[in-house]
Amino acid sequence: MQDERNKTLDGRLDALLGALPDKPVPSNFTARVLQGIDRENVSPTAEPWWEMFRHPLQWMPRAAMTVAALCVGLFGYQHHALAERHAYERSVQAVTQVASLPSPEVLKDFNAIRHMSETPAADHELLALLQ
Amino acid sequence: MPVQPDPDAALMLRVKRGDREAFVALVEKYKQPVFSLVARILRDETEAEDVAQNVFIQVHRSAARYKASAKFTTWLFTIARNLCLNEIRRRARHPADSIDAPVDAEDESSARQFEDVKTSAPDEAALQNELARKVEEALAALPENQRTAIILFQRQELSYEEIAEVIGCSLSSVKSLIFRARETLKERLKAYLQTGGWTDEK
Repeated sequence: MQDERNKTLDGRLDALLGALPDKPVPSNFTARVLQGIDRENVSPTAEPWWEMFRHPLQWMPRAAMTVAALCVGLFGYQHHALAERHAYERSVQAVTQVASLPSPEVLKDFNAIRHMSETPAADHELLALLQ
Repeated sequence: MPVQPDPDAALMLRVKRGDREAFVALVEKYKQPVFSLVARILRDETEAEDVAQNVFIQVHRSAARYKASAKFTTWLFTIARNLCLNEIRRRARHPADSIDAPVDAEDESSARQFEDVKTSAPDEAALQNELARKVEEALAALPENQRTAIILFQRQELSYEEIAEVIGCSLSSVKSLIFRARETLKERLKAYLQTGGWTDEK
């Protein structure tokens, strides 16, 4: 009797589960799946580097900017180099204007001559006596 | 007894070769069962839309790895279940992102306002709808693995072996899952199952 009862309950449960309605699928489901696939497939392909020359409009603006940047850099470097050269020239010129140094022989008696040209210090004792 | 060739496997082999029409045919054939399965596993039809679509996108993406020796539906439902589990884990990590997702079917039903059937004439269709809703709630209250197993068994008519492959468990585990799910459902729906008519359990 219990087994029959269980079989009845099982049968009814099967019927209930089987009778459940399907969940309604959105009408644009397949279209959205295909869109998702197309989005994955549309990615920049790595074409050979020489292919870019087939489309000048794509690379010319970038090339122009690169050339301009190089020119600015080159100009800046040249200006700096020129300024440094001028400074060097000025320093060399300053050195050449200095009077030529005497020969070493003249300097041989330098100390004696220096002492001779010195003004002797006042003799305070003598001054006191004279007064 | 010779094994019948799987027509879906033939379609899938065409998909491998880039046949878009074959892929569309597979989507049209299986979008309903996949969507129903995903919606019942996730207990949320809104999220099920995105996940179900991703199932087929994943099928397309993995077409190169598909082997004709595997039954297509087993492979398909395995992908579906895995994506559902990913979504469930994502919800668990970011609960604030899915505030609309029902957490507990019982809590959800208690917050609803029902038409008072005592004051209006009982409508057969309305009663059937209400019964279906109660069955859905009972299913939603099951643990995910029991819910998946019983849906695949009762609704998709997969064999125990196929269900074991989808869920990734043994044959005996599948039988145990389905048995426990059925016992829980019978207990929860006994008011209807015993009498054969519908009474409000509250």
